[in-house]
Amino acid sequence: MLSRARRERGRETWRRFRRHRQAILGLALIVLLTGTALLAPALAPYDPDAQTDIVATRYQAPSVSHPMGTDRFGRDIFSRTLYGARISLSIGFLAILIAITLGTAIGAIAGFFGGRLDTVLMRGVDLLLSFPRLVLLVVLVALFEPSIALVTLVLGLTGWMGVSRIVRGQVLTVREMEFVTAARVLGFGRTRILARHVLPNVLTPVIVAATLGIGNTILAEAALSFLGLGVQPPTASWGNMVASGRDAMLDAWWITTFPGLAIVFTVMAFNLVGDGLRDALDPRRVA
Amino acid sequence: MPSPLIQIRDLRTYFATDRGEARAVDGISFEVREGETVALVGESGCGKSVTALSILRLLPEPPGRLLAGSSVRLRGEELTSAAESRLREVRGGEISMIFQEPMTSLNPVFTIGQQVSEAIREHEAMSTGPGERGGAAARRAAIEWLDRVGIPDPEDRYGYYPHQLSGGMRQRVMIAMALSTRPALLIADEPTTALDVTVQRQILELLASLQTELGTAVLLITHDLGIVAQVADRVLVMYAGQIVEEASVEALFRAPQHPYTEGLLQAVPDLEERRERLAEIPGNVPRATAWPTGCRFRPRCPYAWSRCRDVPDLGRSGPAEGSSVRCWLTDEPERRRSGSGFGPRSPDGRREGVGES
Amino acid sequence: MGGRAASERNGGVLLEAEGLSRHYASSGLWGAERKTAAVQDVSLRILRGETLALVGESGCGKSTTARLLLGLEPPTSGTVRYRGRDLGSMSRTDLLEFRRRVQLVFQDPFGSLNPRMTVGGMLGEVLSVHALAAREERGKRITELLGLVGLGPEAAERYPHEFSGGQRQRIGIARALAVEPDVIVADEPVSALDVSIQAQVLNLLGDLQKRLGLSYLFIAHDLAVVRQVADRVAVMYMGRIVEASDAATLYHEPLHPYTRSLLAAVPRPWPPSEKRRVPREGADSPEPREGADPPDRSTGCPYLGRCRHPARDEECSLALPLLEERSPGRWVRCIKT
Repeated sequence: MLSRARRERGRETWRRFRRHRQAILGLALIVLLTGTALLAPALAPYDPDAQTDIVATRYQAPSVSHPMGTDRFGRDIFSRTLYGARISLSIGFLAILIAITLGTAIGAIAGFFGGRLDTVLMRGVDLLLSFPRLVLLVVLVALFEPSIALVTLVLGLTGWMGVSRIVRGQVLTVREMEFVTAARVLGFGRTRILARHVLPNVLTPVIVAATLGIGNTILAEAALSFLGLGVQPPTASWGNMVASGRDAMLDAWWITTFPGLAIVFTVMAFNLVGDGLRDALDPRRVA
Repeated sequence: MPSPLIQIRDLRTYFATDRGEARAVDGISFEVREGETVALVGESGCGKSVTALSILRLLPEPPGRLLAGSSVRLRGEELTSAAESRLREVRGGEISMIFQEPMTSLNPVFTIGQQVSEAIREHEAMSTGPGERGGAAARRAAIEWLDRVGIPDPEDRYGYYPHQLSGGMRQRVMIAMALSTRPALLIADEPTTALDVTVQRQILELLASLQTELGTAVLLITHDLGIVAQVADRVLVMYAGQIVEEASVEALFRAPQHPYTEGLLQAVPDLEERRERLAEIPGNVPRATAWPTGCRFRPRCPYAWSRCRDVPDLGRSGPAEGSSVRCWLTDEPERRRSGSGFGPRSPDGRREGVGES
Repeated sequence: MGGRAASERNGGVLLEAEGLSRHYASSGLWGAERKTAAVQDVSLRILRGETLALVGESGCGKSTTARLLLGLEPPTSGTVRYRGRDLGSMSRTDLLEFRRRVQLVFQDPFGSLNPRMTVGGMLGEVLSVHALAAREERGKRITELLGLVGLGPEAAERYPHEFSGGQRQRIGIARALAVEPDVIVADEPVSALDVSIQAQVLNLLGDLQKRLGLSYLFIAHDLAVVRQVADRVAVMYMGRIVEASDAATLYHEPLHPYTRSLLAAVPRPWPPSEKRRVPREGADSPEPREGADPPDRSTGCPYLGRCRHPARDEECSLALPLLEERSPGRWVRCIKT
């Protein structure tokens, strides 16, 4: 009985989303990216880490056999870019998941319960926000052995603060709405009110922030890898691929350019989808 | 009879929406003459506010649009095809408008005095040269107007910001801004709906006295029949994007011709006595994207019969000058007598005498 | 909680307020403290099966009084009692029981329903939290509740935004009825509705009262609407009750100058009824200018600034008039009437 209504609502949201052509383009790009990331083993013509005769195969310009050229170890850039997609996307998604969960929890608690708890939590957030993210990232990673798991965790732990502010603001607004008062008058407990009445009405900006955040996270991961603190070679990540081509940019432009373009298009795609989602999910339209 | 100030013929304003095309105003024709007060009455969704905004072309186009064939004439001048520059002269010049929510109509970062002065300067032929003179003259005029609309200590309050005033005071400022340019027509869109009833009475009295002084015509848009009875000369009742009845205020309240008007008057609770039940108009107002076919009031009308499948024209309702009604009952008045009207429902919820649909 | 016997012993009083006051402290920008008294010394009683109307203009404190009566806010002083038991000293279980017995219907049909829950989900949640219907029974009970307010069972599958204002108001009423309350506090339940829908909802509330034996605290600013529903009326001004009596008497012989000015200000549809029993103020009492109420009048009658009573004089500014019972059931706060 309930799912029919939800499906109808989902269909309406989709209809609104569909009207933004750029959002659809972004969505198509993401689907493409995810697809290639998942199918990388099948699509990649070469093993991304395979090195054959280095002298013969290195620094080859884009050609039919190597559509994106080879790097200084003779590895096929195209294959590495495909595998790099897996790394970047999974780190992006997982890190955002951590950030959203943490940010929503803290923001909701601060906004809903208010008082001293709110003050303490929000001052903590302000403190953390006063550090530039990159500095935080570098410091945290430098404390331990860099690895994909560490990078993901650290990206998540440094990205939740903005979300918590957004969530807190929304919770403060929703908390005053009459249907929340109605829930109180009906004798519902605070946990139920927070979980079933306040949070579902707060999620819209969170979803939008999350989608836009994936783009930022991918960029941050690229920056870390560029600095050598992220994904370690020989594992291919777009960031360390850009880094490795740094010295040869004039002669072997393809080593930096293709992974760089991949980053650009991915981030753009997520931003377009995020914008489209913001309009499609806007609760004001629902009324 | 005074000459027509505004003549509206066959006005149609449609909107493109998610759910299709909303025919908010669907073929309206009426006149407002110099100095008279005309009330445009209806409930939400009937199109009355859109009508007002269409007169001054204040609607965003897209998603709104005035259909070809719509005509709005100001003293003979066609406004639907006027240039934007001309429209800007008209707005606040020959035609002023005040709205329901004065907080959002007033700019919060300017003082009320500045806003009234600005209105005066924009539209009156005052010297706006770089010298002190233009500014000072406008300021004096603004203070005069603040006093005229009943704001105490106008010299002092000239420097007040909108948020420092109560709702009624802000509405008075709006009235000052609107009338200081001596428009021929004032359009008032639900001007007192957001105000307390005692304040409402004062504002209405203020409007009435200023109107008499300045000879301004007023097009009052409201859903409150009590206000209509108090201030209007003529009444236009709107339903589902059309005018369904037009009459002088006495004729309308003494003998409403259209079943909708009849139902509305009966549904208004009476201050004098407590009734067992209020007469109800069953059902809901239809959506502008899907008006009913035939007579739009048919699904809710206790008198409806097979003839109502055709749209009635706005025809004369009787010998009274200036009365017209959009209803087939004018051809078969005996049906009204034999019908049960909007009488209360029987206890089990069934209603007697509702027409076939 | 006592049941019917307890309330009978209590003289049929279900919900009562005694000496309720609610002050708000707001610190100005530079630390200056300002106390605003939203409600001052309000006492009232709601009896079984009756409708008490609380009327007044914006800012008079009627909504705050409602919140105090519902236990949504603690009073600064005074007590609220349900069937004789003090709200402030109730245990958690007692409070939950109280929440079943006294419910609330809101003014705004748009904001009072959770946009993310279906109607059925909303009603089902109420039934589940209060264990009022076993899971298998819930669907049936939901249909029953919807039927009580004139909606069909298919409404359960829809979201609030798919309904009109009047229908949403009905849903809100159904939600309040789901817990089987004794008292419903209706805070401006029809103010946001069109006249024709207003009539429907008022009739519905009347029918429900007869069918289910409900009591209402009806809060409104529209005196004509109040006339239609109220047995007794209390008029509030600046946080205090200034007059209270049964409805017919209040409308035909209002005593307090504020009540008289409120009644005079209501625009009446033409034609005037033959026997105009509700007095209109004549030319001798034009409406006073707005802005004439000083915000903190610490002594004397709070209405003094706007009062047009012919006998008003310095005596009125000496002390706050007490709410006195002039005749059984008729209370006025004015020394000149």
